[in-house]
Amino acid sequence: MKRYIAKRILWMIPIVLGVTVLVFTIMYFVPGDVAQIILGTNATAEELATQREIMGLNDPYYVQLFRYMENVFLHFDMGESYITGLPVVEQLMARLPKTLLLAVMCMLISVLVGIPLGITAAIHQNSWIDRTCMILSLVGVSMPSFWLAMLLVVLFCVQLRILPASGDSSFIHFILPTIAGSFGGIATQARQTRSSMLEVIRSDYIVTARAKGVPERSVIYKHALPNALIPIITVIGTSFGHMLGGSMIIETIFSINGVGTYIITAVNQRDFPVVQGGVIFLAIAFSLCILIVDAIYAFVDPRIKAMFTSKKGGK
Amino acid sequence: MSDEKVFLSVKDLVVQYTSAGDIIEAVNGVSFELGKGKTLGLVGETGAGKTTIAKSILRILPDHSAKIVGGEVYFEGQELLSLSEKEMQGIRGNKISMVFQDPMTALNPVKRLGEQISEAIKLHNDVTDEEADKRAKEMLALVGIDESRFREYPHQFSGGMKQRVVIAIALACNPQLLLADEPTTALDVTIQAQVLDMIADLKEKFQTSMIMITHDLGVVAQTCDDVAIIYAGKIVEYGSKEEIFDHPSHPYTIGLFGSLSNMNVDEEWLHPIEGLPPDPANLPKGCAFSPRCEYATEECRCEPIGMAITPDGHQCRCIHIKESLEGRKK
Repeated sequence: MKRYIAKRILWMIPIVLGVTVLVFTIMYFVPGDVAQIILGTNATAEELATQREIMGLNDPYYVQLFRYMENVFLHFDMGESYITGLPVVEQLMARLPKTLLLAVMCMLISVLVGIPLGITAAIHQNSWIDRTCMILSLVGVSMPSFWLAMLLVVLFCVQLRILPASGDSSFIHFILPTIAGSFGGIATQARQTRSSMLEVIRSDYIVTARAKGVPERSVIYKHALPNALIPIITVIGTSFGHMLGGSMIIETIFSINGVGTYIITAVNQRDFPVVQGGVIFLAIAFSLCILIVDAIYAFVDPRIKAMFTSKKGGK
Repeated sequence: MSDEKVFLSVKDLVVQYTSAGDIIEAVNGVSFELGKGKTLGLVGETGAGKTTIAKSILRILPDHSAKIVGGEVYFEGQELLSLSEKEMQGIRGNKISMVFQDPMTALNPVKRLGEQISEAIKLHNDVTDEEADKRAKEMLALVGIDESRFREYPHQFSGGMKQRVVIAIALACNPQLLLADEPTTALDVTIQAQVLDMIADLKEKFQTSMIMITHDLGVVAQTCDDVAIIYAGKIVEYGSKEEIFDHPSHPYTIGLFGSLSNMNVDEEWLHPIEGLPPDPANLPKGCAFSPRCEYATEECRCEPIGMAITPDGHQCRCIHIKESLEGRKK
């Protein structure tokens, strides 16, 4: 198992390198003069030329690419923002805790609410309980999170005045963003859980469990659920990966100073180093999530574990 | 004998499935009795309702599609169909347990085998985890699997080994009644013999009564005391193994025996029963076998046929026993 994880981490290297080359290349060909962005429109031609010389913008494409790669991967330096002059890595790390907090809370809520909802729907398949759960989750999937966020603000901040509408200084500030951000997740989790539970509870080994005299609750939670988890974990993992990139819309609406708002602002201002750094950071975060998901697979299903650990490659 | 005295007595059991609005009549008034320590064979083709009968006794039919419409099941004087779900849980796996047809899918793939055996022991006995594990290991040894494999998973076992585990689970609490649903169908012939021998030994050892569900007359000959031949959800012939094997009287039973190939005679063709079993969503009004029966008359097709007694004294659901017996002799 350790060997497998080590192998997977090694695999991340070409992925991240590939993303870096791709992002750098795309940004290289984006029209717009970097020196102009930094110095503003009033700069003289001479000043611009000096700036280009300092930044090495006159060097050929591949020289610039390798210089960037060297900085990123050997010195852990993604450069400085053109606008603020602050180092990108430092800024990303400073904002990460807030994004992480929001992502973890949204994930917890969607798992804790979505999975039981899906199980309930599956057990009572085709009954009114099932239909209610599924209609609710259809609403959840189709409702845009920014719209829900607005409604929440109107209700809790404007009408009831019990929660703050924006900011990120205390835990209370994260309540509304979490609700708005997890609603879609709850719905997705519920639908995924329902369909994969429906498949499992028809299985022979569930009948075996019942025939042993196992109480129905244990049949569902101890025998059926572990078998239904694989697709559920996949959905949780990928949605968590997305959230780590900062739920840009939620962060913007509630003025949370996280990774999402950082990248959005940079895109609007053509702040190339921040955009590049942000995308590379996302690629790493996402690969890590997938890696963790794969490790959890092996933990949940001994057949997958056997596939990874056996030398022959297993069945 | 009154119902309270008999070990197991099933009376007029009727079970229906609903599928896409159609009502499928799977079991249509089945009655039989089983004495303590005896084995009854339920024989019939796929879809005849054998498994449904066994699952009805344990009440583990899928409740969204199947319904026990009528009948009674007396087990040691207790009527099972009227028990609460909780009381039934105390009986399942404890007093009555079941061995399933397909060992490849009958075990939970993500749970250790040992845990799957000890679970039943823990549920029905007031024992510590260690004690339950110890007894589960003994069960493994009993079905011929080394204790060292206690912590392994189903995917590490072959089909025959899995079926041994399924049997170990079923026997873990020393049940009084074992429902064996085609326990050897999914296995190789050599493994079949081993598993059947093992079941016979264990049954002897624990004095377990058994219902053996099969479509294999060889298995019946090897294991059963009594035999019930099932066709389209009804028992068409019922008696002791000797009576049925020596004097098959129902045209369907005769057809079954006739379809066996004889190793001592050079036969060019097999002798199958012509035609197909009737659609259970649309059963004939009279005898369900009449469309395939060479002796069928208008009378057979009009109304349900009752049980008759054959010359040698067993039950047979046919009004042309005489003709069919004569036909057999030819």
